[in-house]
Amino acid sequence: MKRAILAPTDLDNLIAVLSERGFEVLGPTLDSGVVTLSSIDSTADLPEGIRDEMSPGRYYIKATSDGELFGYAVGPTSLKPTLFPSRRQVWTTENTDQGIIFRSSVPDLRPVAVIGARPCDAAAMAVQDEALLGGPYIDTDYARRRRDLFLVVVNCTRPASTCFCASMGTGPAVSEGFDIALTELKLDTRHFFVAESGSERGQEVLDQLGLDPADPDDEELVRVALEVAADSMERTLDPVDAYSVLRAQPEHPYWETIVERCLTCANCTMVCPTCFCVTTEPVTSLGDESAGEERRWDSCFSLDYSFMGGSPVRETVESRYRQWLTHKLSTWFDQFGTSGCVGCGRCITWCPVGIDLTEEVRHLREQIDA
Amino acid sequence: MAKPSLAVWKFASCDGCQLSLLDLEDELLAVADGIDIAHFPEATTAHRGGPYDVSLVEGSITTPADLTRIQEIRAQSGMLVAIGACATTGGIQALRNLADIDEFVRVVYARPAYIQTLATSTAIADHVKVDLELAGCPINKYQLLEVVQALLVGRKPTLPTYSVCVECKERGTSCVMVADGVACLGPITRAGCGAICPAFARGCYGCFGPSESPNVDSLAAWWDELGVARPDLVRALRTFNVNAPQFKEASTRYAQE
Ligand code: SF4
Ligand code: SF4
Ligand code: SF4
Repeated sequence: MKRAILAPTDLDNLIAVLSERGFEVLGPTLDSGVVTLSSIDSTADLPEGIRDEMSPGRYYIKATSDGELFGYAVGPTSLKPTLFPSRRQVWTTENTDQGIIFRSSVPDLRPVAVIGARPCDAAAMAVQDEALLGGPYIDTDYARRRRDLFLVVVNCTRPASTCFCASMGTGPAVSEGFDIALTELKLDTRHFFVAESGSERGQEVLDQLGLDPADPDDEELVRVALEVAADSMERTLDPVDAYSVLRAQPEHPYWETIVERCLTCANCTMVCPTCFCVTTEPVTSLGDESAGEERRWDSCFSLDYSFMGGSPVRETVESRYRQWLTHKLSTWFDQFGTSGCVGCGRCITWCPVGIDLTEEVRHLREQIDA
Repeated sequence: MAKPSLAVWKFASCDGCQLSLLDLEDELLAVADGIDIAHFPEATTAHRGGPYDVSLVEGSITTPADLTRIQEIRAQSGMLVAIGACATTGGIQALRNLADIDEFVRVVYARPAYIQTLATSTAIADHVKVDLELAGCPINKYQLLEVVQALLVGRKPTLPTYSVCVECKERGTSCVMVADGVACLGPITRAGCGAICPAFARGCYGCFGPSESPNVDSLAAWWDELGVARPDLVRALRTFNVNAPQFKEASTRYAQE
């Protein structure tokens, strides 16, 4: 795959080309002090010169004048809300002369192109693909959104302190699942991106932009920038060790210590780009006697989620936290062949009381070793 | 099939919750079509005697007269639904439960001897069997509609008991506590409002009372770190749901520290 040089103005062309091809283009934007994902028309909508500083339970935005367009790591919004919306109608009924007719709800959707997803986002999408498309039962709504997605990943040169994708093998450079991958380089005299295609249509779009090829020096700059990024990550998690630690310790007294902190608020599962648990709710209307069903995100932290035979199976806080961590980092391997975690760090930042899964695994390991 | 009859009753309250029923402008006709409103003084002077299939009860029990009236209402009602923070936890007037009622009466009323009141403000469920509770100060009118719709077709209404945080994430509101350091009661508060306050960059005030498994101590420790003084935390827990057991127990402990 030959790499090309993309100037910031070419990025505007990329947005234009994608919308001409019928895509609604989403990209990172700054909204109420948080980098999120929303519709963009041009690079002017991107959060220029912004850094995001994160620690467990805290998120700060800092403005700089360096003009980088992707100089932050990850906001709370992964690809999940786009591909797997928090709430959607599943089916409706209509009363007719012939009786009740059931209709599956197929919303009118414009294909979406996302510019500025992160390598961990692409990896999380692959994890969700396995869960939602990999088995005998396909999530048709997800399949549609997924098929129509055009994904421009921007590699991470400035990971946050909560990121640990390097140890999970999912970043800071994307390896698959993208249409175009960009790496942003801001030198004293030049500001440009090195672009690479990951699919046929990605290459088509790059060709349409008429870009100059990247020279070996630029490719070397990319390599070094991403290596520095990987080395700078403060957090690590050993997925293989986590797999065995967690599955061996369902009854360890350590779990009880989580009771003092975990709020069972479910934020971690909501922001996690791989969590896919849902529930369905009946909807009936008074007037026309139609009925239907809605699906919404649910969580292993909610009591109702494990409600069986008259009571919740996971009543205690520790049983719910253990379920989340054990599934995510251990039994996910048994179920889907990979870890359920891609190391994005969102659950660490957006836990209102800053519970850090990498720390929890480490503590559990220490307790066992002690 | 005869339409189910509905009665709406008021105890110590501001009327805001029962007005939610009238506030359902778009749906009101369909509601009126599906049920027979037999007693609803806020809406109509027409009154039919009981029994009633469903009673909506707003307000808390604060007087000796309330004690007998709630028994009468219970006896006449098939299903009794307590609506709002007053009816489900005692409301903001339950602040009296932490103070000396006689002193209040002396200070407020010119002729204290005319006042017949109980020392406490308590939830309807503290006195009679309640079939369903709708939390909130005020309740969410769509939750009320959901209850009416569910009752009419005989299904279980969908009423969340998880935290407000889930609603924040569902609507894509970024967390005010994490992003802005604003103290928020959302993680220990029951969902139902749609996370209105965080959507306006305010912390949750706890209008819907405790969530299904509130970890008040953990949140309190985090509020300490955010720089909230303990008296302010105590006040935050002592608002519309001051008498909710989890809020009351924790705030009493913090107040004594
Ligand atoms: S478990 Fe946490 S770090 Fe891992 S993918 Fe989910 S949100 Fe990201
Ligand atoms: S780990 Fe944190 S975000 Fe997750 S449920 Fe517990 S308190 Fe909430
Ligand atoms: S703003 Fe409050 S309710 Fe919303 S997620 Fe944060 S802590 Fe929870």
